[in-house]
Amino acid sequence: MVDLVKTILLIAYWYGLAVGVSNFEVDWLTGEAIATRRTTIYAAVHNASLITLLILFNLGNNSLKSEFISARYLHEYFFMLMTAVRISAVLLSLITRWYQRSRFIRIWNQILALVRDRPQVVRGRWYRRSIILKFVFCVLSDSLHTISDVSAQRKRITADLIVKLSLLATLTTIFNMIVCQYYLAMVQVIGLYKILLQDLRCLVRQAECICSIRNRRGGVYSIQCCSLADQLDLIAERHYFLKDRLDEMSDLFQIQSLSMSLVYFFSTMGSIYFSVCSILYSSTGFGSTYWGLLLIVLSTASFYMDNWLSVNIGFHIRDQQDELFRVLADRTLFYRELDNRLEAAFENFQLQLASNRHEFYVMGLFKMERGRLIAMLSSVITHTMVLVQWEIQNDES
Amino acid sequence: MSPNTWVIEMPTQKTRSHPYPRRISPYRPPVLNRDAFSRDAPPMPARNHDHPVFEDIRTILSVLKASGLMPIYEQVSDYEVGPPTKTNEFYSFFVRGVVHALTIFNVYSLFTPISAQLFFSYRETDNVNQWIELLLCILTYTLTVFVCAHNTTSMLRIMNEILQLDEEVRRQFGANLSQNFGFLVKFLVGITACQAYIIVLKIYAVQGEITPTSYILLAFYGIQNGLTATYIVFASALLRIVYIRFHFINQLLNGYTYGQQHRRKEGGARARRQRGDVNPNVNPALMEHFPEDSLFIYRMHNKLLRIYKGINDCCNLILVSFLGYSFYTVTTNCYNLFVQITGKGMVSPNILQWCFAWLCLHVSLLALLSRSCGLTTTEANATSQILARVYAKSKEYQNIIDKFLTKSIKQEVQFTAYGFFAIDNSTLFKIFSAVTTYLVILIQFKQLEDSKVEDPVPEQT
Repeated sequence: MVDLVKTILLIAYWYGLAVGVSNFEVDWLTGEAIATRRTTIYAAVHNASLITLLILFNLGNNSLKSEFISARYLHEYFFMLMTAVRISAVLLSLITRWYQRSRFIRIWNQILALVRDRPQVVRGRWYRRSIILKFVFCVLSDSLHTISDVSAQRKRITADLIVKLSLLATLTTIFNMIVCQYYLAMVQVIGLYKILLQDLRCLVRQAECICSIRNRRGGVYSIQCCSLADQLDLIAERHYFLKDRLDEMSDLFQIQSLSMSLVYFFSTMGSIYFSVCSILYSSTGFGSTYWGLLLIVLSTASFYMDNWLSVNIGFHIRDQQDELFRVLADRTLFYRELDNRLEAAFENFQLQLASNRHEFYVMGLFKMERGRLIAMLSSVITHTMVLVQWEIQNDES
Repeated sequence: MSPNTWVIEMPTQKTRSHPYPRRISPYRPPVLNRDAFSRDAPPMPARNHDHPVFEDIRTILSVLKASGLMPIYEQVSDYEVGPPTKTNEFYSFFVRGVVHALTIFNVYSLFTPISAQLFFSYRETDNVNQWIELLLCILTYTLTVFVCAHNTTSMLRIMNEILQLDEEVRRQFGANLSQNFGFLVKFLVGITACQAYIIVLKIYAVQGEITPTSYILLAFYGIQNGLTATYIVFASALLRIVYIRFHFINQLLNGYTYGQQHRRKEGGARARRQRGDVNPNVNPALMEHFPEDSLFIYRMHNKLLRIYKGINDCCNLILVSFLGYSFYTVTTNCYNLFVQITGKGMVSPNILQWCFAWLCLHVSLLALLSRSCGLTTTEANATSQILARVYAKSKEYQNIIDKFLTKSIKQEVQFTAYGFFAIDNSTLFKIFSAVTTYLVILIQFKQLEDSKVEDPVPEQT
């Protein structure tokens, strides 16, 4: 039987190579990442040609530059701003991937080694489900987006337009692929966290059992306590290691996260604004037929679902850590004091957790948490309102 | 509504035939007779089931049960509820099905001219606003029904956990924790009155003959709003229940604090003779009982936190959508009021009353919700602060205290709306500041529209 998750991972990997996002090669048997010559050359040629094409199209006539000169209305300016943000986000992420390539490879290998130590991560239900979910929505959102783009322009297709459209589609795909890689890495880390939690739960239960030993004189009690303390220390070390990897990973993905938030922010604002504009000018275009409307609604829904999945995975890490704390809190319920060493180990782990909470600052600018999402949403609404107001005020017709 | 109105029901004369409860509640003078209660003593004789569980919130529960939002559970014993019977389950299922069918009809009629009669326009922007408000209302109620159906088992589990906790408290301290939940009934009556009033206002506002479909739509609209509001009141009641338990253990701990212990030592006999000048609410407890009691308190605190989190998980989505809906409603009604008052034409008393009714309903609900959340959160966070003041005379006691304090470092308890924002007393203020901002923008819009309407006229003439 073909393993679905493995197939998805393979597809993602080859696709990443094909669109030039991965600039290193992975030995599929051992899973080790190496920078080989052929991938380096391919990715370099791919990225360089992409950038040249972009520059060419932007500076040639009938392009962004000429549009900028001829733009008269706010929505035209805004559309250009959106395009610029998208392109620069993708370019920035691509460039950082080159100069941080060795770090990427190192972290890939480190996380993979962790996963290889505990293969039950890959068999976890949550792991499989989240990967399949992400794959489905990613494919849906990407393909629907491309379809709606092409069908909107189908009446006046020229060779020039085809190149332009495919360039845009590649850009979107590259962006999605980068997000996908981030998501996959996060999923591995969360899977590791889940196993850590399981072990910890087991340990706390054992400690509770030991609590009920009446005879504390003999060696059995202290030996059991010491062995538990050793296990707890090991778990603490594993957690420290994992958290270290996580910190490094968030450090690596900082620029990606920034561009992710910028793109999501601007595209949400833009889509609201443009839909209001199109209602206002009642331009009967692509959205006027039922099928077109359905396509737009579907692609929007899958796009936001996809975004939600990738954003939510970052918050999920926080939840796991809170859960870790909660499991440890059960220690207060032991009705007799345990051996000194075990108590000290528990205390140390709790303090370690409390003082090193995982907090993800994007480029030191803002902290990623759920509350930020609402702040972003309210900012989007306010700014769209201002934009629409401007549009109404200066409406010439 | 005051936080300290709860009643401690002591064991009645009938139950006195059994050994006295071992520990004394912090709310009453200690009884000298405190002995001979072993841990495995037989539980209190099972009383007849004429005394239903959750008696304090019976009214609201019956409303929610009838509307299919809560399962019609079976009462297994005084301290346990069981899953609903097949018939009752089917009834809830049926009610939910009817609701969904009505919702689909409602949405369909919103997009067709059937409901054109009900939603006449005052002005362009207002019409869009009303539409969005209606859609939000439908969305909130549908979500409530879905989430409730999905969370049936977890809701029952939460109730069972609360009941278990009560049983434990009763066994240990002989205290019955119950509060005067009179405000629930008041709120229910208020919601019904408001909704009825709003519907009557709407009927008067409609011109011409009203079709039967319109009546159905109006009634359903009222029911949707009323039931969503009722659910919010129910969530606040649950929070209040949790609050009382937290308060109980905090009071219990308070007896061990340094100040109380000091007082006890200072005037042992004197204080007993003149009970009057000692704080009647708090009785210093014997320090010897601390290890045992602390274990009980920790366990209770942990369980309460779990219940609190369970409640939060159950109403997460409902709270998010309700807060969004009520934010929108408050904004649009404030805006309508403004338009009516500053408008050059006649002030329509109908619309004024309509706006006032909506504002009253939503503001009071928001106030209730944020107050309940705030109270419970403060109380839950207070435990570690009280514990830090406990008089620890030996290393052993200090260890017990430290365990809990280490646990609660950086673990602030919060009631959140899906993690997006914490709901407490400050939420009300935040919502109103947001309403003000949007109101200003909306008013600017209106002035813009007015100037657009006025401008072209001189050009044409």
